[in-house]
Amino acid sequence: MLRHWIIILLMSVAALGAVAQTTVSGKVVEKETGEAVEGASVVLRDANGKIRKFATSGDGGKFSITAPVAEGWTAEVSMISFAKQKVALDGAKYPLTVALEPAAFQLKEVAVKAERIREQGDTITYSVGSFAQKQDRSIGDVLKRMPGIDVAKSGKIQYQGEDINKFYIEGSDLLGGRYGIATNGINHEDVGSVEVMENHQPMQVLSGLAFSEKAAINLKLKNRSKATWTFHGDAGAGVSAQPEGLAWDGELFAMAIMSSFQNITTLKTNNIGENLAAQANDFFSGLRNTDLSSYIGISLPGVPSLSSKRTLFNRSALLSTNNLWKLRRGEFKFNIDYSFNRVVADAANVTTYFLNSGNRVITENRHGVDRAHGLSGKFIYELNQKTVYIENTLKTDIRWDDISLSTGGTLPNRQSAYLPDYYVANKLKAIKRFNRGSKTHLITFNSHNEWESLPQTLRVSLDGSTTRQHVSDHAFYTDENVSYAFSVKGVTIGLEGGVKAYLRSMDSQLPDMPEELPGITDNVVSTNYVTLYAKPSLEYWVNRVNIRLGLPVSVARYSFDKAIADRSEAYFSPSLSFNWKPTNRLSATLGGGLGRSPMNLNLIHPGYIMTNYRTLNAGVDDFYNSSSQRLSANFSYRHTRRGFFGSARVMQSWHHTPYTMAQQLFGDYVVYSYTDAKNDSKSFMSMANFGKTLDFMRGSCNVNGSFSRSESQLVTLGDGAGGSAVRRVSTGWSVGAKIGGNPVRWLSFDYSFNHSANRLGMNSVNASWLGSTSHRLDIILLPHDKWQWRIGGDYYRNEITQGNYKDVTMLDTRLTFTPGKRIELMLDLNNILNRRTYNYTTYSELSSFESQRQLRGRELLLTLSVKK
Amino acid sequence: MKRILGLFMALSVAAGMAAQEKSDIEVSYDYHHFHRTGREQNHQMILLANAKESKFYNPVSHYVDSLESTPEGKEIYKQMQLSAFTSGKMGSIPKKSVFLVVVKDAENKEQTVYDGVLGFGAYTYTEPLEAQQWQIGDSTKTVMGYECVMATCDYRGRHWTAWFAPEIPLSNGPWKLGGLPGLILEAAESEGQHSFTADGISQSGRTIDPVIGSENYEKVSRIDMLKTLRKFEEDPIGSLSTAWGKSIKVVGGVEIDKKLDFLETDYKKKR
Repeated sequence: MLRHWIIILLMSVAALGAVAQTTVSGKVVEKETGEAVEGASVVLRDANGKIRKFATSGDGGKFSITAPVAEGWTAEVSMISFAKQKVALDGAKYPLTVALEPAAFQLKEVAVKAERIREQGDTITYSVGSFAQKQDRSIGDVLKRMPGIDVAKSGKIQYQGEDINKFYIEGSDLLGGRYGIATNGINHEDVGSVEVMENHQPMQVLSGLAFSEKAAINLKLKNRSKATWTFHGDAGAGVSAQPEGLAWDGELFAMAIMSSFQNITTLKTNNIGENLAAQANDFFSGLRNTDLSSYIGISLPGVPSLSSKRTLFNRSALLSTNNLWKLRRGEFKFNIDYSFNRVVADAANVTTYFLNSGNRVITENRHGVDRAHGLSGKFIYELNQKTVYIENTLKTDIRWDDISLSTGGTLPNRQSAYLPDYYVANKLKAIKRFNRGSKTHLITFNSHNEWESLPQTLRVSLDGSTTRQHVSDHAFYTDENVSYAFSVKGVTIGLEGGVKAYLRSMDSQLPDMPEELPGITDNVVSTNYVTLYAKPSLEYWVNRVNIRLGLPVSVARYSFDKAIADRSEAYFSPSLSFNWKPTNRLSATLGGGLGRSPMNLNLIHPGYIMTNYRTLNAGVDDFYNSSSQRLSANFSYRHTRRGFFGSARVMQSWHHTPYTMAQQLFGDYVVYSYTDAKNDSKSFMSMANFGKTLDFMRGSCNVNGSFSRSESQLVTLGDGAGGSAVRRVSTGWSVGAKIGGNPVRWLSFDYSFNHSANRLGMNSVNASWLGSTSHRLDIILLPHDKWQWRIGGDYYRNEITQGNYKDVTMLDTRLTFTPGKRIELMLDLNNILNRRTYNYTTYSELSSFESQRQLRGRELLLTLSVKK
Repeated sequence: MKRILGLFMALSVAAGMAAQEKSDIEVSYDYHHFHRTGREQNHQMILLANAKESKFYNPVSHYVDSLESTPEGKEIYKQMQLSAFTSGKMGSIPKKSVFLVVVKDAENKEQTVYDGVLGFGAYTYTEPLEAQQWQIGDSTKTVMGYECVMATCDYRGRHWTAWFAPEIPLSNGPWKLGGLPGLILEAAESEGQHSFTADGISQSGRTIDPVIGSENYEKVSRIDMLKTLRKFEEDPIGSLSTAWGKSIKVVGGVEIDKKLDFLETDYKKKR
């Protein structure tokens, strides 16, 4: 009996166990072939989807899992390169056979959540996704948020207070110095990260030999934006209250970044206050050696200390195409830009000249139109290797600038200027590097040739008579040099020698001379020179200090075709700098130099040249040299893990010329000339900038400040009375701050603040400080994935005279609707309060200037934006 | 340039000859650990894996090894050292500081471990590939956009907490960790001395090359390797003096944090 009970008990325990524990067994095979798949994961999930047990398929694809299987359980079989299979275990019969179908495994797009800023050696990597806010569009909008990086409106980039020296996209320099097209054009969603390469030496042959204090930027695109064409386009139209009529803003942008070919092509146009020509500026071009500058100076009235978005009455267009082909050896690049900019400006001015004999007041009502076209092309071949560097750049730049300005008031007149500019240049640079044991030798050959023609025509209609002045100005410059450098044990010694020649001829005629003015008004001038030069240099590394010494010497022969006497000159301008980089975080530079330099040859003209309807310039009738000294110190610090970047710099310079600018009035004409009086000027400048990430709200902040002081001399010559020298001291300081972030899911904001103050002192009598303050706040509400609402405003407070302030408030709003990934609709209402005028006062050379200017009125714009 | 090209060609030919498998996934982990002096360290480690095999290594050490494996590469590395030395920027050249390489072979069910110390010794052993005994927990969290499930285990003297992504069906992970139904994206042991956190993941399709210069590693048992390396950690100066056969003196001596230990601590109990 007992035995029976025991048997029954045992059986029921076994039965219970059988109910609670199920052995899920089976086999994983490949669907097509029926072959066993080993190494597949088998996961048992309960009704809630929680993983309860798991195993891996073994030999023959077999698996076996014992688990308390209950209702709603599933088995999931997955293996890389196969599609996941789910099997419901309710009522399943074991052993199971799970057939897997091959499928490509795809990682998620969003997978990489890198740190916001990383550093590796000299490279700092900013993750774009971690800085971008919903309202940002171009990569430039996001670069501005990255601590340590500063982006100007034109798209020009600074890193730690210093201009960058290269801008790369995926390691290729497609745009050269015209990278504003990229910063203002590339959609930030196409960029994965931004790399800053500190101490970037763009020429590989010089790596380790020539130290560079500058940094370069490289945009790393997301995989989906590489090896394909990406496009985006905006089309906006609406109405504006001032200027009255149609408002538009449009952009087309196409980009291909491929392994052997790159292209960026863009077409933009607007009339809502954005001058597009600035975006095609070449930030690396430096000064032209042809050294011509327009004698005619007519400019339209502008509105300082207010954003151009508020003040520019424009019609602008820009077309730019940029191509890069990677050849078997080197790269070939071809860029063409065309820009058009038409600006209209109106102003009412009262100008007061402060004279010993009492103030003189001139009133003006001005209306001006400036039409500028620019066409430039560049062809570049570059071979950049460890031992060879060859670059040839052929560049042409043509500009037409027609300005007309009509003035009513004390001296009613009409002025028009035609200022075309034709420029062609070819630059060839070839460097070869040899390594012999521990010694490195470098041979460089440079050839620069530049030609420029700058004809200038000024037509002034005054009291019914018309005066026409024509200036023709041509220059050709050539510079051929060879340099040799070798490096032993960290010391690089360089010797550069060459010859420069410059041929320039200028003639000007002003046939109808105002009667008040004594002197001649025709000029025929040649200013030519031949210079032989040598530039020994030394660079040395010791204990993380880089020391550079430059000792350029030159002898020059100047010939002026009898206008003034020919002469020979010798120049020596040594410079010395120390850079100390004790750690990757800290860098300090101390530098100085002194030397003598020739005068600006454009100033040599015995007769008058008219600058505008009431200003004339008399040149100098002798050749002179000026001397200068300068000292500077830079300091930068960064802590990338904490997201902190700081930089500061101070600079002091002294300049001595044997001539001083003099101002003289003849009736209503102002004549600037140079008098034989020593002029010692000096200037001091300092600035500091700190940036920090604010991770708690995915934001960042920045604080900056600057102070400057300059001192120079000016001589005023009265009507017949003796001249008096005026010592001018201008002092200015500014502070600014900005902060932005995304503190909660439905809100992000940007706030910036700027305050600056200036003071002008004359002969130690100081005018009062005049300050101006501006605030800008944008609040972006993100109530829903598809909707975005921005409310923003500017507040300006400008001190016109001491204690007398002018306040202006401007409000804008934008509603954005994003129905899909590729499409966006935006409705903008700018200057809601419809403010149309603005007053201010500025001080220039011994005069005050008071004006009433126009502002862009209320503006409604509907924009459709699409992208691929 | 030609020289470098030659080097790369030589490397790729060498790689081609060994008929390598392509990886399905490349994961970058931040390995947070401590130097023997108690200084915090972060090293990048790379896991190249497919269903059959995987390699877990330090990319900088791999770069140095690949340079040193050919005469041209050696010359380049020498030049790099020289220019770094003369410019006073010794910190800027790549150095082999993390020797650790773990090669898992799922087909033959074994794993080979390489480890060592520069100038002291390099060792290797092969052991059976055995998954840790994981307990799957209830917690989940998101790592790099992937929902990860927590799992814990005790393994060779340490208690590990790992987070794996069932969406990435590779039962692998950093170091020897693995055997979960998904890739381990984060793992930390309970004393806070070692942790691995994935900071990048891609389908680079890079081939899983064999360890460069594997013949230069001395074959030992696992416990012997750990004991030898431990001796070095406790007395680096004495160990180097013995290894080089000459006495080395360090001004000021070396402070050693005795609390620190290896990824595996079970070598202490044995024998």
